[in-house]
Amino acid sequence: MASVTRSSAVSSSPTNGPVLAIEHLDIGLRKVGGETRRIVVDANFSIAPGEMLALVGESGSGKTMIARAILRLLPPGVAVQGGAIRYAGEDLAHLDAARLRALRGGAIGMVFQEPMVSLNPALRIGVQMTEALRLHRGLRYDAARKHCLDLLERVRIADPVACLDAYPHQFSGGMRQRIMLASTLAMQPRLLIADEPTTALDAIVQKEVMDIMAELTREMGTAVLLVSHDLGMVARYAQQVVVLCRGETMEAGETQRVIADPQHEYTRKLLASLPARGEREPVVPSGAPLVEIRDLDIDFGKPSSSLAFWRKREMFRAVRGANLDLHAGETLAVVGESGSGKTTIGRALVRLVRESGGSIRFEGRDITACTKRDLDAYRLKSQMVFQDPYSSLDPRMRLIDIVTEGLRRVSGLSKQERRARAIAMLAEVGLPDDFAERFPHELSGGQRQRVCIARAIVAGPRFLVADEAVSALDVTVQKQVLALLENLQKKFGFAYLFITHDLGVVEQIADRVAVIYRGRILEIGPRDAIFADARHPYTLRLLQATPRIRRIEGGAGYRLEQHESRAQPPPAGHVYFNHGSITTQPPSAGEPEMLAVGPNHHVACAASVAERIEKSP
Amino acid sequence: MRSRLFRRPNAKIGAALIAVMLIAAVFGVMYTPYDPIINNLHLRLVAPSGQHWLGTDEWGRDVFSRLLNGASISVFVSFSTVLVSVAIGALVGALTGYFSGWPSRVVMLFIDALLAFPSLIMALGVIAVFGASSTGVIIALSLTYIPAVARVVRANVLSLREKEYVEASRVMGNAELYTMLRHALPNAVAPIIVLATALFGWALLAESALSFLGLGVPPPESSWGGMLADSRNYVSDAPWLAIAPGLAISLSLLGVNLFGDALRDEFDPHMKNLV
Amino acid sequence: MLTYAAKRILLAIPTLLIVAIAVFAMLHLIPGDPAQLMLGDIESPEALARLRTELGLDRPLVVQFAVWMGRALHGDLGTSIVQQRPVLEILLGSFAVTASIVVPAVVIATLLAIPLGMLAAWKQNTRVDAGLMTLAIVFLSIPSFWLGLLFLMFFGLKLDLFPVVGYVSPFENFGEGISYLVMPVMSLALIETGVIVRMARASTIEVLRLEYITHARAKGLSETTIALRHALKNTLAPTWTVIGLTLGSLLGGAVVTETVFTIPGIGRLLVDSIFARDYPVVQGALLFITAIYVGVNLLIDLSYPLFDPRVRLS
Repeated sequence: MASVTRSSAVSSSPTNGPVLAIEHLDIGLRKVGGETRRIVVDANFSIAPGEMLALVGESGSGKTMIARAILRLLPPGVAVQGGAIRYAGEDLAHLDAARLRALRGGAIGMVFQEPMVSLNPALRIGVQMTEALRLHRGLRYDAARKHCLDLLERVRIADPVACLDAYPHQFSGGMRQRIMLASTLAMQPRLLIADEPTTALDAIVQKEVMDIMAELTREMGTAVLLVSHDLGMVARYAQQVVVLCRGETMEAGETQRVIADPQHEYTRKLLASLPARGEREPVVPSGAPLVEIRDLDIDFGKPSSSLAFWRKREMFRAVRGANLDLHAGETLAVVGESGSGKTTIGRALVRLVRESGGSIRFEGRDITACTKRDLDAYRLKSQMVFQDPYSSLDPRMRLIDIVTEGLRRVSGLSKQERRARAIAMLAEVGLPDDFAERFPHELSGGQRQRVCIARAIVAGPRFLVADEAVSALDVTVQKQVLALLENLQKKFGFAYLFITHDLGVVEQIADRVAVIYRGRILEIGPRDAIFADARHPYTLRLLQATPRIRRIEGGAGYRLEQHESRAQPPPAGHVYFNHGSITTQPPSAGEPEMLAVGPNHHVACAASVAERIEKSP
Repeated sequence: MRSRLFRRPNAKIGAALIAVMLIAAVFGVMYTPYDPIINNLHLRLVAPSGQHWLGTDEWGRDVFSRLLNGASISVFVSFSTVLVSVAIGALVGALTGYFSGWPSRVVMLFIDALLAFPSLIMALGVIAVFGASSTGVIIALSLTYIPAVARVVRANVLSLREKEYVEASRVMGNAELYTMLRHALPNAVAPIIVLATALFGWALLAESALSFLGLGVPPPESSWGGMLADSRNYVSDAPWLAIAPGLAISLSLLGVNLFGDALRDEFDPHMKNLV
Repeated sequence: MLTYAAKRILLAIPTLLIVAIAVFAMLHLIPGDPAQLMLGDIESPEALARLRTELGLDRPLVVQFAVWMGRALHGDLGTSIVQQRPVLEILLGSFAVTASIVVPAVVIATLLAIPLGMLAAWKQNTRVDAGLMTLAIVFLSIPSFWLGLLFLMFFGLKLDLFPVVGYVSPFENFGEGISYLVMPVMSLALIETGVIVRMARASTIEVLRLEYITHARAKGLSETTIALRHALKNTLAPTWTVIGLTLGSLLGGAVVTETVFTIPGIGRLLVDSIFARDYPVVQGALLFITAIYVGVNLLIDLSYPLFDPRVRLS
């Protein structure tokens, strides 16, 4: 594993003044009653042509507000209070509306976060793409169309002509984001504002889109203002960085310098909060596993119209032939992109979905076919922590009641005992006594997730399914919750099935890792084996797509690390299952088998073509 | 929550109008200045005066007294309709939302078919069967609104079933019935209240329309719609006959609509498209 | 698109079947002998027996339904007891009258309400918005029959602008026909506008919240272009459906409006037939009005893909 500091290093072009200069910018929110709350205070930075500057911060840092203030696209009630936004000698903050509209979409382009809602569903892509060209350049539709075709090609859309005549819903999120990019860059803007452009995308697609963006803006000499919460991505792509916290600038400078030698305490805290490989004593699987999942298939009916009243519903298979063991006290991470089936496995484990085939054994007993009494007993031993801390707590219940409810099925406890246990459990997750009588809406996201954890562990389960349990949290809060989970595991000894898309989190807390893609487990092994010696090409692409920031050994600073291990050939006589068809096709036919490539390290292979020919009579 | 609700000016106006309507309804039963039903033919078509605030009708009856009496009948009919249709509709909706098997689908097929009738037309059909009377109106309107209530409640239960806190309760091993009663139902109450308020308005309007057509509350009992119907013969001689009951209906409806809107915005701004 | 259309049409069949069963069952739910009910007490036993056979009341219910349904499908809805004419003929004549009130009312309400609703949404939480919304809620709180009466008193009697009662078909005498239509149409349309304007505002607000509107602004488009090109279509989709559904309340409203202005429409016919116990006409009218309502909503559903391509292609 080698490391480079920055993959897309750019020799900064000779500057003849910055494209954009933000000077002493203040932004305020007018509240009911006339008072104003300042949400951005004295922001200062400038971007040179061809340069990418990133605004980094957690939620509430004001980064998006700054980006939106440039084109005056602030939400109602939010307005620039002072300072200047200088673009080409003009102050955008005080420009009249007509002149500002002339700049919008022409010289300054913008790409938004949610690809699913930032294109108009009712209009053909061609209409939307050519709009700005026709408006600002006065091109006729045909000429504008030709220009768009060229750009769609450059963002690597397979069939640009068909694309222009299609509607947005016919494309995946990643494709739509590329179309957005093409449509914005078609104007060859001098400044591109990208507001969390890839946050909603899976890791591999995220990298594709960012690579294209970096490449095209470099060619065009476009300055880029990137807004992101993801330090790893910022370190990989941006030359300059501004670190924001609650509207105030904490630190600004060259990205490489800022992470290698952070000056401000907040920057150091942010960097220290990034998930890092913990020095875990790997739990050696010994004896019978706690949970054994064998040949698990799960099918879902597609949502049917009421017309399909008498017809069988169309099914699709979310999980195919999964085999997993979960040992007492270990953390098994299941990683995969959205729609991979990782969540479905977790939900089957806590009996929220039924399997279509295969078995799940808990302490040797098959819980897919057991008496209600055994199932009740199992329910106490298995628990789940959900992803969204805002919808997983009943809004009408006090915290104490929420946690006490976890003990409802435990017999032989008096009311006082239940209450005492619940309070103790709240304390255990770091919520003092006076939280007991509060309602969920009075809590922050991190606190809510603590309540969810307390509720899950109050009855003393043997294992927890954590479904993206920290994904919705800011990185500093995420760190605290991960630490809490680890401490609780040490203290109570339960096992975690940790479902996530975030390889950083996996690296920090997992003992073993299973990589799942379109319902199939492609690779499974000890954490260190997966991170250092991944075999399956899909695992490798996933690792390469995820930028990771590491502490420099023996120093206070950090550096960007690039995953560089190369794919190993599959075991003799086999091909990697799904090899070559990772993103475009469903798993190829034929049953794969899990071949051992190292101690406890298995990878999905299918018999190679040669072998199949030999075997066939 | 209550104090926040009344911070909205519309809620205050709405509540005030509703209060006036309810007070009128109480007076209509307890005390009216003149007898609202007995004829007094020497006092035919007297214009509003200190004696008869809103004048008298063609039978010499005091319009104000009849208005109060009409209020109690309108409120009684509308309230009973809401009670019956919400009770039955919510039950049907909750059951069909909760159990997703084929019996639910058959019931929903019927519910959808009943929704295919324009509501007043369906009420007319039912009245044709049961005859024009207060009870007939209550039955007709309840039958008309049950499908609508069932639909809304079902949609709510369906979406609540997917909530993570409901799933969490299942993971704890709680019985489905307990989960429904403890977690799903309390969170489904708010939309039902909003819907019931809207229904009250619909019922009030429909009752007066039916009475106006002569297929609602039968004479000599006074009803706002019936009073309006009678006023038609005297529009040029005695316009007050048409003004008073019309204003009564409109202001009551305005009150219910304003209050209902405020309630809906308070509970859930996203319900705007549901009801 | 074709499968979508086929699906929606197929879906309407069970609905109409259940509607037919309900309308058929109506007559048999009335306590007592239907034939006796229809004729009242005065008629002779012979007339009673004749009507019985005519209605097929001596046969089992299922057979009766099948016969009735079969005839209805061929356009034979029976004969009116009062007018002694085929029910369908009577219905078609009076429906044409009702349509000449309801259709202009819907069109006027839609043309008024959608621009106003979008304007209110664009000016959300300003005085323009508050004013429009207050007007809307006031109008939708006024019963159409009272508004009709007020029009009658003011425009008809006081100002003598329009004829007070009666109806002349605009197809026979256009000018005079229109003058008879103005007041009933306006009394329905104004209330309807109140309903639709609120829907249009709500759905526009939903649309304005979406990022593609911000995206359109970021492209430098003017607010007018954004409204017409980006918002209108997406606003229309949900509002369109509501317009179809409110047609139900409009048909109900037509019944009372026809009574106010003594217009011989299908609503008035239904009410008169209920009074006269002319049950073949009552049944026919119920079936006819509901079928029209279902049909119009079906058409609206079928036109939905014009506004939302996601339906078209999925």
